Amino acid sequence: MPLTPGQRRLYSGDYNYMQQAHQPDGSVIVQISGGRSGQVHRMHVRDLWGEHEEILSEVVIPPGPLPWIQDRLEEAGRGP
Amino acid sequence: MPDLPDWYQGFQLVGSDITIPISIDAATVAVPITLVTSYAEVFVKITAAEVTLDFNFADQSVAVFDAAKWFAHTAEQVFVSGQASIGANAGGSIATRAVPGGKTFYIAGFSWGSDGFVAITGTYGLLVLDGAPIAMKAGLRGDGIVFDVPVRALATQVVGITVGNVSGSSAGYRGGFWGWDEED
Repeated sequence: MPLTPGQRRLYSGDYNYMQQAHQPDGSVIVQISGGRSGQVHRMHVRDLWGEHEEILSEVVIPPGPLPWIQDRLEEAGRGP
Repeated sequence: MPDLPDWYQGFQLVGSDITIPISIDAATVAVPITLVTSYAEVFVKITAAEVTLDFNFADQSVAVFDAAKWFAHTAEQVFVSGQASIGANAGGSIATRAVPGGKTFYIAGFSWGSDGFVAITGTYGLLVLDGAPIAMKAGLRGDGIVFDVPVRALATQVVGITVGNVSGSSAGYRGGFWGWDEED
């Protein structure tokens, strides 16, 4: 089975931060961020690193600052 | 070693793009280098029983980093953290990482701790490399180690932190390990 975009990033090392939440059934929710893409990939993985690794779900959070933080930065940059 | 003649060669190069690969094999080697340029990258690999490096920088902006700071500077740090609920008197993995292809992962430290309020009588943290424990520390609710010399993990090896819950009730734990990747 071909790698998902998140898996591809996981195995290429294009990230600086990885958080994991180990679930009672042995699966792991993995979130990776940083790296060149700037995106955040959040994956629910069964058998992480194992022979039968399987991505149960995967979402991508677009890069960029939170909109309200961006608004405040722009307002601060405009001066009083 | 045969009695080789002394050898000296001076260079004066002027160009817009210059690359000079140098390989020297001799009983003793001295390499005085003076670079005057707007931008310089110098990669040096030395294998010798005794090495003396004498740098004399004169520029408007010069910085010398140790490896950890350099890889932070180049945004190649890696932080792996995780959380898990671990049963009474049991151990469990809270964070793992397979080292990506073409990279070597230098692990600078690891830490862990209980994130609950249950009575815990003890815990231990274990850094594991391909299933083999390589560093351990114990504490009441958590602890950590910062390595003087980084632990090296090669591509495809799986690094993990295993935490032991030495108490009569299950508890949640968080922790992780950190370091940097270098291209092979």
